[in-house]
Amino acid sequence: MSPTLPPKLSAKQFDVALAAFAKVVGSEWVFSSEQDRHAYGDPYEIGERSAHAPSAAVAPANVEEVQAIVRLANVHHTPLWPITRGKNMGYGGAAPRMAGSVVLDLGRMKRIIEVDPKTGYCLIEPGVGFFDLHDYLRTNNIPLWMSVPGNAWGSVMGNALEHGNGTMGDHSANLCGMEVVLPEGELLRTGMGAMRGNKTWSLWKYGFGPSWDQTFMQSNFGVVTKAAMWLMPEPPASMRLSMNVPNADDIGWLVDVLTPLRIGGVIDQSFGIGSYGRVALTSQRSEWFEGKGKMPDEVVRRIVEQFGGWWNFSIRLYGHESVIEAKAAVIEAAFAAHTKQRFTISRWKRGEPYEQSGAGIPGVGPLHIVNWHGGRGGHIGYSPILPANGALAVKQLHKTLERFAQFDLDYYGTYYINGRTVQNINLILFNRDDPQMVKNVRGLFAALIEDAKKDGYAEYRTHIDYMDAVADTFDFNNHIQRRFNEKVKDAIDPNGIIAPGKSGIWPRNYRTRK
Amino acid sequence: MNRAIIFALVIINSSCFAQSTNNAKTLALARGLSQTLADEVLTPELATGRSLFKIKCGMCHGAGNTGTLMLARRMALDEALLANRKNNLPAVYVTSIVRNGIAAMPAFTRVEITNAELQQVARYLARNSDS
Repeated sequence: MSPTLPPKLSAKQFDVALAAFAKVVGSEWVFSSEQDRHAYGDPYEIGERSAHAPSAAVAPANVEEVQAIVRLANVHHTPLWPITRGKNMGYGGAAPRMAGSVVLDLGRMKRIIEVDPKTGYCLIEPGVGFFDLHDYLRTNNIPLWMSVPGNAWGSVMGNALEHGNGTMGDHSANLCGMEVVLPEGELLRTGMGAMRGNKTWSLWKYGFGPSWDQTFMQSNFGVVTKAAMWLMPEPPASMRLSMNVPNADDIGWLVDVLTPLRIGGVIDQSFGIGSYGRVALTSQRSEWFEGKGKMPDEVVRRIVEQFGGWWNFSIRLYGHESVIEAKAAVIEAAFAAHTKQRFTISRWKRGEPYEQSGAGIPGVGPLHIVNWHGGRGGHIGYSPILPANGALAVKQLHKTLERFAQFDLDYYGTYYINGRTVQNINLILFNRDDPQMVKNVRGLFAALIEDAKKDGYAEYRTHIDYMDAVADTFDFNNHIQRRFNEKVKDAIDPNGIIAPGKSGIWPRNYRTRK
Repeated sequence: MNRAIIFALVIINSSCFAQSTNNAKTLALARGLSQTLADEVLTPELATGRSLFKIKCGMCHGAGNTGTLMLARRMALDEALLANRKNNLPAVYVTSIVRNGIAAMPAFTRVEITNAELQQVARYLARNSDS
């Protein structure tokens, strides 16, 4: 099958561009076969793959090669879609927003440039995966712990740039200082890195004047080629407090009890309260129900019974033993006012087996969820940010349950306790080969966007199919944010080279493709 | 600690469901598959393939990990643990699956695993299979 070419480029012009890229990276790192294009597609596409078909991929080995490719892309009018490791599962994987884009695969750039155990940071390249960093820290006996997401197959930096979460909360909050190739090929260092030889680039988040780091997160304003990530010094002790909670509406008091503990610093980490939908982590739907459509209520009741409750969560405390014991007592007292249930508690002290410590250990176990229906599975998530308010959480839950029922899909929600907000992650699991189910997924997603907008909520991150729709919900002052983003985009990227359409930001030359 | 063993422990220990459920089938599967790969004596080339397999594939296809669990639903445990499979894993099949993906497994790019690396992994996995 012939490739979807970049818009406005002939096959001949495209070949000239690829040949120019090959001169920079070597022909073995330019990928344009049908199999290559397939591998850079969305593994969990919702419907037609062609909407996000890449035309080719190119993989530079270092920042100089990235700069050269970006400059050539400007010359040859070839839009680039930068990826770190391409494992943005559920959000499009490696696939570009705009069909015909050339994937700029930074996976070869995987140097761990610097790790400082004393101040607790690492300076890394985009291709460094969670497994890579974890192996490095363990192999070199560096007493720093990292936060890992459920699916830790991807890039440490890529996940943080997309505002990902993990075992120790918000990853983007741990980014400190970046190196960025700008859309015309110049190299920028943010924060203190803007001063040559500054010793605090990876330690102090701000510089002098505006701080640009956020500008390069979830954006298409540049290609991040280095970033520092703060890590947690190994604590002397940790504790895990786990509880299953029986009823759906318990989410209300859980949010109200946990929020002040989180804001007040009794609990340092954000964490998820997962519903019985977590059953998909280790089992298949057919083990519970063989029929079509959403699982009947009696099946859900059986799962909840075996799951041990409607909700399940674990709080992790890290630090000096006396401090975490005191914190645990505060948490237990706060819960005693609402439930007779007690926490299941496990303790760890330095020197005991690492696997029981609560350190972030990478794994990909949660990918099992795409096997829920069997066959070629997929998932996407709709995840609005809500105020941390129990009554609103309950309202949101019931509304979402109704929507899942309306579209005949199994519910799998999580409420992530952030502090002042709750992140309501709704995973939608589907069978890619069931056209009716795919249609229902699309219907549900659209309805969830609309519902959230009416309630004054929006998503924190979304799949490439829905970037325009979600960006549209940010409508203050006649979508001034989008208009401002477009002005910036046109000014710094006049040829629209970097990731057209990312987060709903379209450059002038492709704006009609929205 | 061996990566594959760590992953196996992670899926068993960190899954809230696995800890709280009475789902005997799932727990039996997870525990049954958490045994380590046999320390088989291999030629240097096959040993390199095994090492690459652990690094590139072990997070899913190590003992007790998610890919192995998925396969174990459809076949015997020994067959599900690819490194231990005694037959039906010719190299050409391995390379095709890795490049094209299958069911829940995504395709791998040539950055994730080069053709040369893939050949080594395929030869390792195919060591007990008819060509």
